Amino acid sequence: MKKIAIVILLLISYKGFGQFHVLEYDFNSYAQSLQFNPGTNYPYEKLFSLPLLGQTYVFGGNTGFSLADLFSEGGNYNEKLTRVASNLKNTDFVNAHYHQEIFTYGWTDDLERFKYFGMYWEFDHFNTIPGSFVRLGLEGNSPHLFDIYDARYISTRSEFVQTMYYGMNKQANWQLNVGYRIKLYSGIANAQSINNQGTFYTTEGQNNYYEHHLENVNLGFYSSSFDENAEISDIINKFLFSKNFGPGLDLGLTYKYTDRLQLSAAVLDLGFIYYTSNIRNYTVKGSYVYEGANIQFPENSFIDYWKDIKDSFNEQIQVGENKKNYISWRPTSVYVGLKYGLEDLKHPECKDFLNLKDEYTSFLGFTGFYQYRPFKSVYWGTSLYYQKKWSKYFQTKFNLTADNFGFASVGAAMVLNIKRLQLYLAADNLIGLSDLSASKKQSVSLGLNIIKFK
Amino acid sequence: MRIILFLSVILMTFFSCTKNLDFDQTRDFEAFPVIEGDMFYMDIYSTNLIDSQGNFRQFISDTLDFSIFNDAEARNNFLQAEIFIKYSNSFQRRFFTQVFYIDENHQIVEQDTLDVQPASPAIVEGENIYEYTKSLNPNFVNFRKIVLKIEVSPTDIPVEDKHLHIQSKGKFYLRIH
Repeated sequence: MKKIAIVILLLISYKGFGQFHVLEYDFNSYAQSLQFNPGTNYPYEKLFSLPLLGQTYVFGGNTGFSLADLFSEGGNYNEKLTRVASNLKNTDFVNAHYHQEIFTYGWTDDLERFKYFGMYWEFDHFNTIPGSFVRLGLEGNSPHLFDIYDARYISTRSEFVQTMYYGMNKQANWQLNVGYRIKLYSGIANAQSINNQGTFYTTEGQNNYYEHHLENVNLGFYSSSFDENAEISDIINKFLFSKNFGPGLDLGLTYKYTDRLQLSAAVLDLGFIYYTSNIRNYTVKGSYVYEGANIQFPENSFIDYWKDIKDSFNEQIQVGENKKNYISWRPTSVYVGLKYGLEDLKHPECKDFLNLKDEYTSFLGFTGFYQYRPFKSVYWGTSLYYQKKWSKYFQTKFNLTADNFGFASVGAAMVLNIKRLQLYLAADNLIGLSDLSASKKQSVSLGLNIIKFK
Repeated sequence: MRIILFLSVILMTFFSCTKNLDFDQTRDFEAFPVIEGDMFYMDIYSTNLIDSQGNFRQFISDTLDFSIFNDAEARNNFLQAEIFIKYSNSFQRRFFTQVFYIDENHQIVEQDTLDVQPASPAIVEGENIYEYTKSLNPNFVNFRKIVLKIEVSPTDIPVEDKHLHIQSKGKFYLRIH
């Protein structure tokens, strides 16, 4: 029960955008690999995912600390909290992601192009945990009096999106595979506060001890379709008749540089959602300098200094509320890959048995990942992998990954083909499984698809 | 065999381990933030010491609302306050300053004095720090106004074209739990 609670905590409290699908990228043995590179060298003639089973992916990660750092048994909780807070960087974040393929259907047409369409749900939540603000809350401003607090580090987004797509994959020539996927996003719910600006800082004062500055503050909180009184029927209604739409595009290619060496690249989720339904937005803008009340000792009148300060603050820092429609840009991801054929096919007559489009049974590869984040950091990852095709029925991939969450996580994935049924299982950060509470990230993926090889 | 080995690795995902965690310890949470900020400042020139009739003002006073302790949470969390008052005086006069902390019923809950010495004629500077703790000054959190009363020592000479500058800040120690 405790493990389930931890996994749920990992998945719910860690919130994010799209993910670094380290195991799925460039692993074309997996029938859903088109999701991660529409231009992959795709070996299947037909694909049909079992409803709700085509791909399920869950991820939770926290760059700043693990649950054990805070909640391990024994020791003083406040000392642990202080230690965690003192180690937090402004760019630390927590991140969770859930992807559920609803269905996929794909086929090869007469021109040898693989066409496919489908639908998936995706829940992302992401928020920064900027160390300077955490320490400000726990310790107050006095120990850090002249620090600068930058609102760009305050960033959060939760989004539930339903996506319908149509894609095509084509072998342009013996060297080049290209592909695209057109998407129609349907935003079920969104809440975000991103691209915040402004600083809070204190300097030595002229008139008083200090000057406390709020400078060029521009904060925004935007939400759509969040209704605390929503009933199940309302939620179903949102899935079926969402009023928040947007276009999206995935592009990808794979290029065989030599017989052994292939390069690949993909750009995913180029697009946005235009939110129009049940909007509630709040903004805070302005600049203000506080240096205390200037006592004037008027002879016959009364000055309400505190009211004057409040009025001046409200005049210069304006808080607004509106119901304007807004755009939420999708978290665009960029992948690059390099794959090198290691082992030749020892018995070419086995090519059919192995059902290979190439002459190699094992590969070494590299994957790089970059994703824009709306704060002063990027979500990045690099991975080295070894892929082995044991037979037509069983293929594996092992990754060693460095990313925002750590520098050496080991992941493994397998594809098991039983006649036309393909089972895919993958888990990243296997070492973390030995103690989930001490892990900074975990991901699990599984898929069940019906396939037919070319 | 390899398949079995690999499957066992994957299955670890679903049978993974975790050390015991104790979420109940959040009940022990306490933090001790220290909030520091400006309170008030004043510049007294000769014009402040002469009234509209041209008479010398020996006593001047003013009142400042101070609403930080309107909040029940702030009152409950209060541990200690340090009020810093610093002055720089070029008048060759003494300014005997009283600081009264007044509650909602206009009763004095705490009071302090700042004795600004006359310039010699070199400018005189000084700083006082006043401490109020929850245990020794339990009524301090009830203050809602600060009244400043200054008694300017009269001299035989006319009011000089000089300057008294006073500034203050507060350092508030809290306990959040």
